[in-house]
Amino acid sequence: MGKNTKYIAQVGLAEILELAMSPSATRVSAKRDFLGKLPEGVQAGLKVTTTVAPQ
Amino acid sequence: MPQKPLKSAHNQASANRIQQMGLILDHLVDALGGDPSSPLRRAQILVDIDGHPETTQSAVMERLGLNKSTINREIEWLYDHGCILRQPSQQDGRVIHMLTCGYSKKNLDLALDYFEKNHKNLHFFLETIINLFTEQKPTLRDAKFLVAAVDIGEASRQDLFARGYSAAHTTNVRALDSLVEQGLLIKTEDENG
Repeated sequence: MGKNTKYIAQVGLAEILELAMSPSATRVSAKRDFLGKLPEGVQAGLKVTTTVAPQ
Repeated sequence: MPQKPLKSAHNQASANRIQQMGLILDHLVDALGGDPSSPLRRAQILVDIDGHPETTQSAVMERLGLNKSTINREIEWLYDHGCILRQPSQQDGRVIHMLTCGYSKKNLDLALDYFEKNHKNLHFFLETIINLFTEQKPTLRDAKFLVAAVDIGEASRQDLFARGYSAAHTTNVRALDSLVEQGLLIKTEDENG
């Protein structure tokens, strides 16, 4: 039997990438902090912080 | 019949924002001499020069908050690869102005189509991606793997290599391993009968 290796994007990554494409009104800063304690078996993710750019 | 602009063709081909990101990265690779090993920071410098025609090295350094050695190295690379022109100032010969040119300008324009021609938004896009990494010099190749992994969902190594840029197998393996080490991708292994 062989091993089937798969790669999954970290939790929060898709959201950060989506926001990276957002118009200038919405800004996001991606922090590398882990999210708070998560249920067993759930991977910690990237923290997403959304801020509104000054007018 | 009028030809459909390339932008429209790209936008139609890409069903969602994540896929569009892949196309933007492709344009940036093309703008950087087809070199996917280029650091994202190099792309950001090129975007900054394009957004500030006739800018100077010190102005780029100040705007991007980069150190002198990084700026020197990257601007030399951009000049050597025909991405920028350098012209002495008519007022002061010690001052060198920089401009994007040729294939770089053309491909940057294609990338900017996704940001309503707004250099700040493209800069922000690159900055957001750079900030995801813990390693010093993330590359366009690294970014492309991340985008592909998000788009595919649960990807095999072959899936990711097929979406990534052509490179030696070891280069791609090293890039993927690094993304796992940095906590951006999670590697899972199933028994395969």
